[in-house]
Amino acid sequence: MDARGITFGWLVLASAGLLGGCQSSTPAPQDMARTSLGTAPADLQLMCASAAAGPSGVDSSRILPTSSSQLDATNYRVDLDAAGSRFTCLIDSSGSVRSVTPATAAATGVAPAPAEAG
Amino acid sequence: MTMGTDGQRGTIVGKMRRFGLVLAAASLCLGPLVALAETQIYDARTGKWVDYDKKKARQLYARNKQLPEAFRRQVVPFRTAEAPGTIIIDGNQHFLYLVQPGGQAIRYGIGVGREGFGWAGIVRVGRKAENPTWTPPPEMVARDPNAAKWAAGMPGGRPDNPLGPRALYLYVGNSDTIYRIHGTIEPWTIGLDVSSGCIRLNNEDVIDLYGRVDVGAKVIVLMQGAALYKGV
Repeated sequence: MDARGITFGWLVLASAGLLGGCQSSTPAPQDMARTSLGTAPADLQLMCASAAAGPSGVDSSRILPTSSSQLDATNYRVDLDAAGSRFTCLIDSSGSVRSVTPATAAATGVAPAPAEAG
Repeated sequence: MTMGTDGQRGTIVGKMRRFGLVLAAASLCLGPLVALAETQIYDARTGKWVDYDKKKARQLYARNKQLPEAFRRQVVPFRTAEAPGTIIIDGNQHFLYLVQPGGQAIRYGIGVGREGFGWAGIVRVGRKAENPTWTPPPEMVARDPNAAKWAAGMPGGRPDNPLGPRALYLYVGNSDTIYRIHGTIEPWTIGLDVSSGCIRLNNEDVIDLYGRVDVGAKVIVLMQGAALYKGV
């Protein structure tokens, strides 16, 4: 490869880098809407509902997420209604359930029990 | 404006009245708890996030002749233990997910209940209808002369029928909840809190969804702080 070829190669790489930089600031089409509520993504909310079946003793088909919030960059809290009983689930953005506890325990700061399902 | 029945009006009205009372009571109790969400969309033209309200939605739809990209039908990753064919409605984010095999879902933009009309629950598709008849609820007939004209039902297939070309009727057990997933004559309202509790899609999307969903499909409605309508 001669000097012109090498220069051209670097220009192509630099352009690609610039384009990549531009693209990274533009959200993907599926992420081009957001709300001020900061709720957990629907799939994470439902993963919490599934995980709560063990600790609550209620079939997961009767457990409904009622509210959720983002705790930090990677963690969410999901409040659940399990046939009338309230549970709180902590889950991260990778879908790993950190804990499922009765809502009162979470509210009073009692150490959460490990989740039985993930 | 979007509630409707399709025939069987006599039997439905009683249920609607009973449910209306429950809903009114629930709205009074829980309405203030429903968090008011402000939706923003990314404007690719300006590269900025902009507030998405009725005025902006109408403006953008007039300009682009289509919905903002986020509210268009698309396949997205979706991790769930729910069976393919299950419908999951995220009322806060204004998305309806139809679970597909392989950790994916088809996502549609939706319009949902305005303040006091949102709800959450686990229901099922009780029946489906093409060109559904729209019957305005008695409260609407009482306050809106235009709706009163159609108190006995507006035939399906008319361009001004608010249910659009398809409707999925949501049931708890064998009881009609009075809520539906349906089309719309106001496509710019997708992404907004506008309805009386029904879930509206644009007409192309509701036709697509209708063809993919079976009667009996489970429907999970998520709505932060809304009144619970529990079933199944």
